[in-house]
Amino acid sequence: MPFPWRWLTDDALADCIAGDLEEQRRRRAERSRVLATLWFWRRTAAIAFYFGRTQLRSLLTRLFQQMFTRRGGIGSDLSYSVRSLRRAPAYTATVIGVIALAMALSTTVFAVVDGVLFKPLPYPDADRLVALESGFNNLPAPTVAAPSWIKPRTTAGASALDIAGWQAAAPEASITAIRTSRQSGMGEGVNETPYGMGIVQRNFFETIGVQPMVGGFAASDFDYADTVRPVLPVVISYELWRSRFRGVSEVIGQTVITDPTSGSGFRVVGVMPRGFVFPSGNATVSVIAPYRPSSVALRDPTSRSFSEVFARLPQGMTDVAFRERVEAGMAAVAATLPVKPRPPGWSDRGWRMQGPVDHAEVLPLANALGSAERPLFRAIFLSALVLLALGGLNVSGLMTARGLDRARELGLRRALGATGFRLARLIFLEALVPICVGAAIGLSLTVPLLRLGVGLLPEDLVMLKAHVEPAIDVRVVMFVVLSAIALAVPTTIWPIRRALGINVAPIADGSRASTRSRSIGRAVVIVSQVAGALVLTMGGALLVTSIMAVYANTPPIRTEDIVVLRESMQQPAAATNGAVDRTIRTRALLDTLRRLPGVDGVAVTEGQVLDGGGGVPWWRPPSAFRTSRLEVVAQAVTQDFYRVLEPQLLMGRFPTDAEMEDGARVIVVSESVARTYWPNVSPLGQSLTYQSQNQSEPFAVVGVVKDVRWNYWDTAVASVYGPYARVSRSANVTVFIRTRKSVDQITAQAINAITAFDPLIRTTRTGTLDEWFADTVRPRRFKAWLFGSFAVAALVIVGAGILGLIAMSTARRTREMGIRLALGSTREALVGLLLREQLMHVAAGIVAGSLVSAWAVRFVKSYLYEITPYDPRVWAAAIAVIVATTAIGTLIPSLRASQTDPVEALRVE
Amino acid sequence: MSRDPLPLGEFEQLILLAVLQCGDDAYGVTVQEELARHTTRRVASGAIYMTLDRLEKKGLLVSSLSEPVAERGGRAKRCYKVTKPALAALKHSRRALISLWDGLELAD
Repeated sequence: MPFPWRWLTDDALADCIAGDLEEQRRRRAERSRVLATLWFWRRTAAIAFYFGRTQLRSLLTRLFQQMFTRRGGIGSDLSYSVRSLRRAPAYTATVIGVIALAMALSTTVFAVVDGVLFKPLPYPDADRLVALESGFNNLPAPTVAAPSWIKPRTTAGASALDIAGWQAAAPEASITAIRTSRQSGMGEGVNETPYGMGIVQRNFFETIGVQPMVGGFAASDFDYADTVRPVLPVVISYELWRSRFRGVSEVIGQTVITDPTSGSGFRVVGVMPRGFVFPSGNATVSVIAPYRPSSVALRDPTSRSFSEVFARLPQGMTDVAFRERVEAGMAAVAATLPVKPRPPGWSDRGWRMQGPVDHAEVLPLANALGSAERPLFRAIFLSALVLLALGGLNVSGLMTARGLDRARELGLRRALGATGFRLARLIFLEALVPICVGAAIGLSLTVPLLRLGVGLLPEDLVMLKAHVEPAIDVRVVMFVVLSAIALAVPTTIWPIRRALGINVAPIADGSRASTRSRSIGRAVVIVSQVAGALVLTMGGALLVTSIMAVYANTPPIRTEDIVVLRESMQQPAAATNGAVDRTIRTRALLDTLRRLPGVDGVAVTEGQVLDGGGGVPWWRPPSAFRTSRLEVVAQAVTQDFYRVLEPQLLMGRFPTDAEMEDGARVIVVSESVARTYWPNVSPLGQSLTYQSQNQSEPFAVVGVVKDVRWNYWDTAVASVYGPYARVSRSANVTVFIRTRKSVDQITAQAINAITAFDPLIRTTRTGTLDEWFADTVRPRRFKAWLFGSFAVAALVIVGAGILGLIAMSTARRTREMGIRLALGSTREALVGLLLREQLMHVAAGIVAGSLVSAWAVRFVKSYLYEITPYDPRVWAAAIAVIVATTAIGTLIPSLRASQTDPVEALRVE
Repeated sequence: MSRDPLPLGEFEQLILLAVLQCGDDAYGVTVQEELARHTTRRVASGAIYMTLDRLEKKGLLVSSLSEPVAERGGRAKRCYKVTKPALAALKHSRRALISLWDGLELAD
């Protein structure tokens, strides 16, 4: 068997070493053959390793010397590349700027979306965590034909009884449930930032696999009936500890009173570790409180208190097996519940959804969390990669043009013996240097951009906001490095190909063919750049116009000084007549709230208020319009509604106090209703029929107001405003409080007053009306801002490229300019010539770009607000921007070229 | 005019001195044993062989092959002898060391 060092040294020495080792082995074998053999092979490996290491060191030293210090090595090429780039400062600055901008934006986007798309969930064995959605099999169809765009709800939350039943059916898994809510603030200072609160069961930390880094809940924290708001024991997030409590070590036991009048607040009992993300897709939670059954839940264990359920599965249990166990548990729970008769007023579907669930959906928690955000951020990430590719294409175009102009130099190098590999290496290094510099600059810009971006993220991007830290980590650096390499390779392919294809002969005999091919090449580059710029500018212009329209869209009602609370008014068990009881309770509630100090008016509406889809068919259209597809939001409003919110009246009047008090059959309609149902006559005095299970009665129109976007989206909807006493049908209402006091103060006082008035009323959402409206457009605004920024960045990248390209190509014609001037041309004629030449290319680029844009704008249609993709003003503006950019890029070097001294120009070679 | 002796590294000096100590039976094994006996330094076997080879290429050692013997698996033994240039270099180094040590009293 050959010894390993035979491959590392000459045979003679190898043989000598083998002999010495054999001699020593035999000597040692006299004591122990086994030990001798072990020693032999150990010594053999050691010698081979030593030889190998020495050879490798020697090889690397030779390689380094050859590459960097010897003439003709990489070092000399690198040095030449740097000198060459320094001689073309405009080109170098353009390339570095383009790469820096593209790299900064794409790296920022990567750092942001990494948390949603690529990073695993920050929990131990996160792949064992699943989300559980409970629903219903064979749900009856809605009895009333719902608008086509409404997706009927099929899922339900979970009650404590449900969770216990499911856990009993799958004891090996750990199932826990949570509920989240937004709190208005911590009661100190004005405009305190709202925080998210998560309500958890006692096995939450065990299930998620993360414990507080300090402190925690005691068992007794979960055993308290929540009849009066106490000082809640809470575990806070690391970020809240650092920001609100200054990171003090004695945070445990600190108390924050959120309502000084009632003394309610919370007491810190623990702090979560840094980087912990609360596993909710509904809110960014910074305060975790223990679940304490409310009086409602204590009375009715089937009350669904939890909105999100997740579980940790043991090794070996599949999602399918878990789902089957849970559904068996659901059946077991259902069997223990008495069958209640359906009360009057409930549809089959509605009543069935009040009953026990019997269908479970199990999906990985990673998929459930952020599921709404993933498509958006996949699109954003792809856009960032496109931006990066655009930067690379731009640079490639600039390098190609530069290569075309250096054809003579590269041809001479070939003639003097330079190999294709040397030329390719030279061009590659000339590309790599500015790309690396641009990447470094882009990386340095990423942190401030990241801070800016994270601050602008809307609240509904829950997992994203929770998962993103404005810092550069190893993953981001790797992205930059890989992007730089990925950019350097394709951007140099075409220039290298051109360089290797250079034919020396035409250069030698001064053939005009080389000049012509240079012109054609330059024209192709300019036309393609202009076309690409126009496509992206078009997209950017459309999205920027959308943003402006979004910002300009203010609702035609009063939103200042209005605090909003959404209330769920559970019916008392003794309630007999739902509608009457509801009206009486609501009036009493309004009286209670009016008595709060600082309150100028209180009103209630029952209907869509910025929380979901739109119309419901409670109001029957006139017979001539029975097939109308108009979707109408039905609002049941109380007495002060018009006074508090001041909707913009277009025609007629508002109902009087007496009419509202008596429940007179009068309504106010929005302009879309008036226009659709009574196109040719005045709507005043016309009537609409209100239909429900028990009644069908006409109501007279007394006024017309502007449409308001009452649904969750940013589109105004047709609405009918009827008297609460007559047309209310739901237990969920929205309370509007007009006040001069601070939002936090009045919100806390209102919630306490409501709870004291009736513990069955639960506040589910608070805020100001301005905030609620802003939330409705925030997602669209964010998308428009984001994609608009991309488009603007793309415009800058391509615009800078065109500018640099045209400037470079014009500057290279200095000798020609000198000859023309010497032969009698005027400077004005010269400028005109250059402008005409370039503008012809620009015109061709605009035509090509327009054709592509006409096809491509369909992809941004869904992001547009109140404009069409073919809006002529936007198209004209985009074309004007391109023409202006190219005109500036052409005029400046043209004017400079026209100032050429013919004598000096003729000396230029 | 005499040529300056070739400069010697510290390990090269040790190897040459070990070869001198081994006398006529100076080969890889004995040189390694001699070094182990006189120094507390742990020396890699590969380093010894590479240094012997390098010193031979420099002309400071000459080697000769013995007859193949069964104890060595039928392989010949390569024995080394110090050359005159090596002796001159060693003497030069020794003089330099003695001169530098002169007058120095270092406590233990």
